[in-house]
Amino acid sequence: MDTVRSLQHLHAAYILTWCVHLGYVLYLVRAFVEVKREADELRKN
Amino acid sequence: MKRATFTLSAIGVAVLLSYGLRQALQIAPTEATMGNIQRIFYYHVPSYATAFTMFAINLVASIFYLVRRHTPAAMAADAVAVSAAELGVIFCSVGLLTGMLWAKPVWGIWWTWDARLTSTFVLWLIYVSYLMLRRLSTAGQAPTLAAALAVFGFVDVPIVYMSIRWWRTQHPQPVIFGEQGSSGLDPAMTTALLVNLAAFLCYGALVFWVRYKLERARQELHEAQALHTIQLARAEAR
Repeated sequence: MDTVRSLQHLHAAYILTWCVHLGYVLYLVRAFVEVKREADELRKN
Repeated sequence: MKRATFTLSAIGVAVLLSYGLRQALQIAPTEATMGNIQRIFYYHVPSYATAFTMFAINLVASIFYLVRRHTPAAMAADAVAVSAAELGVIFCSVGLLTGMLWAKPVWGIWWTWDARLTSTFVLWLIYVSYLMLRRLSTAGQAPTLAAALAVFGFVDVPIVYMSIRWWRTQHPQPVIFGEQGSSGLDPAMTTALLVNLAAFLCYGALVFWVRYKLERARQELHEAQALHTIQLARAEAR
């Protein structure tokens, strides 16, 4: 039933899920910062 | 959404996700034949359910955009469509990855080209191509073309859902809405699934809101940049 390999796969699935989601949230934060920077630049001009 | 409301929602979603994680890893009983690896189910199914919900939102927003593309509301619909498609791809990717990690110890293979897996992979490719079309196209028609692609692309969603009923597949038959009407799941397993389903849908809604605000900010910025360029061209012409 449970092998070391299958438990590794279980943990990998949960960790990978949150790595993907956290990576996407980080991408969104960076994109927001970029948009704000460009808007500030435009206002200065 | 005000900052305080957003913060409270984020805390609520984090609590729900933590509770879902506890349900999945500690409270739900161990499945008799597969063992603990079956616990991937509590992330695998909610990921696809959230992805399908996002693709449905994308479909509605795309139809709205195509019908009302000459009105001010079209820009908001376009922002909804792209946000939902992007999140749908993220959740669908998680579904594919968790599925492969589940398949290897249980089936002995990472992947097989059966009807369910192939139609899901095609679905993922359709929405990745939708996002690439939007990202790489420089023509002003990109949102219209993408909306048309989204309408036809969504046809694959019911095919994915029904594939395990229509064809003989390596993927297991439905355990939640099976033909017998009963779920076939232990009540504790059903609870863990429903908690994680609610948690993933709430998390998806929250991130969708953030992505929508980003898209609206981008649209406003592009309009302001275009206006600025026109003003500069006029000043130079004088």
